[in-house]
Amino acid sequence: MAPMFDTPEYWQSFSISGRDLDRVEEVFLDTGVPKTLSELAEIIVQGRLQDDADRQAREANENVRQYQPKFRYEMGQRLRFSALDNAVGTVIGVRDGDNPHVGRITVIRVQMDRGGEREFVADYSAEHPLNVEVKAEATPTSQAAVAPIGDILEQRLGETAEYTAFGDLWFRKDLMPDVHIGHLNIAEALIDVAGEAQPTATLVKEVEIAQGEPAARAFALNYALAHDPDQRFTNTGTDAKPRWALRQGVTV
Amino acid sequence: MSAVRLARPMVDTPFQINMAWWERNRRDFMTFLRESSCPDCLSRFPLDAPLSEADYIDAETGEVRRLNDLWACIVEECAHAPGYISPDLPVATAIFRALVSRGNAPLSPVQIHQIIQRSNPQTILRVLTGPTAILGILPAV
Repeated sequence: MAPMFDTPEYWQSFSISGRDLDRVEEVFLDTGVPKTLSELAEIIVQGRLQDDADRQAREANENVRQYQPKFRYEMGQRLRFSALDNAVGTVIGVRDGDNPHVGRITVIRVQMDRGGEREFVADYSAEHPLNVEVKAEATPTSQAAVAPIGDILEQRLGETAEYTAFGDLWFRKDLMPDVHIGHLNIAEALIDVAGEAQPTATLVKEVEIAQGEPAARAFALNYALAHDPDQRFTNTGTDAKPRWALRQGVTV
Repeated sequence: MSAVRLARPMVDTPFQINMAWWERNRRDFMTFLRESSCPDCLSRFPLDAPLSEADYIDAETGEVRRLNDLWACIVEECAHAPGYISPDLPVATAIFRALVSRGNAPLSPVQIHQIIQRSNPQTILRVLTGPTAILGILPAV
């Protein structure tokens, strides 16, 4: 069987699932630090590969067959539907099809494991993407999947209220250490006294943010400086290595 | 957290036009289907023309749905006509047409957004999960 990421129908219907978001949430809760999109996408890829391996092991025990329209099926047959996110169901009915344009076909009624009943065509040898045999590859191309999944994940996280970003790093808002106006005032004073832009690492040491891992504190401070309501600060470095200056009167 | 997500529709939850809702609420689905038709299909299947049903095969999943002649015409012709889901349509109507044009294949807010090219999946989800069902569109069984 072809690895999931190598099948065209996988990418045609790919979207970030609730289970993917659960995994993303778990990694933030477990580590307490921000992550890049590549890191999060890799976690999703590995999670899906593990799910796929678990599924194959289960189906090997249950004699589940991959559904293809060209074959005939019998009552009680267990089928896996690759175009429906690998949903599994049991054939509970078989009837003659009724469509004068496609010739003689059979229609199977399937009780889906996840609930509900659906009908599918069988004995249908006409051209259909599911009737194409996909050659198996020796190894999965999980690394190639990371970049496109990262792009889709970025859009999805951007649509949720729980997550926020600074540069390429993403974090959960409810895990961000608290950075308040007092911290920003100290940062402003430090930069002013120094007379030049300061890296985040220097500012974090001095403003004394109480909680969180060092990476979390740095993220929270960067985020707060970038979103200062009084817009006092400007990043004269990069998102990866910020250097914070005051907008007026401080040489970089 | 996963149990909460299973109970509450999300942007990847598939939705469908629930025909039982139309029957329970005594709404005339065919009137709305006709309003979703392009002129070509309406002229081929005028109001007084008898409609027969046939097994329509989904070109991606192999799923079979019973569609009448007018609905099959919408899927095969109207759905491909430029401007069928116009940006001028109300969002709810655009969502309805997205489902009709796919033969009522279950679609998630993410997929609906890709079809109607408007709004965003979160807003579409809010439209579909308001206090009352919109045009009988409910989470797919």
